[in-house]
Amino acid sequence: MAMKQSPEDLFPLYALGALNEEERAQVEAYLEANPDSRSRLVAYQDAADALAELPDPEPPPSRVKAALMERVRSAGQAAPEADSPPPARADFWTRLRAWLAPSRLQTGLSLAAIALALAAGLWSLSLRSQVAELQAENARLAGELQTQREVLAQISAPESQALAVTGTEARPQAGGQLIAAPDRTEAVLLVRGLAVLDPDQTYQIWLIRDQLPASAGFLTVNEEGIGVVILRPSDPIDTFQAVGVSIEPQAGSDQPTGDIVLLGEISL
Amino acid sequence: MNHPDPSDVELAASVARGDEAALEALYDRHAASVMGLALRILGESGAAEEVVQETFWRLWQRAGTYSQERGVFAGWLLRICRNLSIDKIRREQVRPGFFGGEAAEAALALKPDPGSDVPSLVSSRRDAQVLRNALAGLPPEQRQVLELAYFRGLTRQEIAEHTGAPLGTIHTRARLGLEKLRSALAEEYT
Repeated sequence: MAMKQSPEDLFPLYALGALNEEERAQVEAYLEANPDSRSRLVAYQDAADALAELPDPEPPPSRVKAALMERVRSAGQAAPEADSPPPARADFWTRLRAWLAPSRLQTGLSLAAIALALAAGLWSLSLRSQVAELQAENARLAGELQTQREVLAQISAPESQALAVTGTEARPQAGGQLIAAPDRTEAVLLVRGLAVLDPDQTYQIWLIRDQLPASAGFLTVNEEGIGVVILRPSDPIDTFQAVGVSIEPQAGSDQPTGDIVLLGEISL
Repeated sequence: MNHPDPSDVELAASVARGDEAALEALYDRHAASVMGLALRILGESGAAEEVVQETFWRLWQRAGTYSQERGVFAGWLLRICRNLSIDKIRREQVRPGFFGGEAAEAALALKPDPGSDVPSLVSSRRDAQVLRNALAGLPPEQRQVLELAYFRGLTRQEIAEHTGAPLGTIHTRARLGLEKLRSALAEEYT
């Protein structure tokens, strides 16, 4: 939805967590472009944070701590989902068909919102760099910048469309957009809500045509769960019917073998 | 012991290095606050316990992402808890029953309670009664917007629908409510 207010008008409701995803992205992009405005947001954020301290403390039962520590000890420093029970794994195509059902598909967000969300994600990525790591980060950020330029070029193409990519039952909080245009052999996949994986695992992207998945590369996400990747399939993107992301061994797989975490229909 | 207790920031740094004892120390220090907030949002102890465990699990995994630039540690942790609780509500499409009017007053315990004996489980916590009094000083319609947004996880559009007030009015109430709350707290602590 187009926002008629100034982004700063949304600061109080942003601080209260009362904005939808698109509105949040717009505010975050505004903050990136106007860093001086952050102090005005912080004033609201302080007040909103105070609300968290309003409820009376309530000691949880001892079993909660016991379960937590058992989880910690059994998983060590493993990745977030390392010891989570694996979701029931249905046949890949059964799940694909279920997730491609029209009722599960969502309308893509506006391209402007995608651009802003992307900018916000990259900004967040750069913010978390620590001073001691800045030099090492420079090369990576230069790569990010190049990616950003390419992504923005893709987004700015007049025929580009944003297609919704939805988290599956394995990662329901995940989501994203595929930004693509007919007859193009480049597309941008923007994801959020994915966990950082163990070093021996990777997110692998699949483009699916006639029910046959073909690898379209790999995806990494930052600690905020955001990832951006440019897909360069050998055939135009609109010759594929769907895009998916699965968790695979670090070297990748020929076919999806692990949990599929994101799926989206390609309909251009 | 001559050694003061390690600060939250020091313990968080230890957690980031994989120190289980530091995690336990932070749990002992903050679990009651986290549980209180989760219970308030979710209204059900089983769900709240899940969120408490998940909040500290996130801490275990992501303590390295905390820095003092992100604010006071307790605030950062409670924000994780709040977000997880709201996510749970939205994901499971379970909203604890709305309350308003007298029920809201009771639930918020807005009336001054001089006999209140809130356990000082967390030394860094603001006095809950000061917060309640500050919130109680807000006009009811502003308080309602803060409540619906923060504890119920409603978006601004949902708040407008729920209250029947125009979206612009919701903006104004949220802004004024937070500004007054902040002013009241600033007066109390300066």
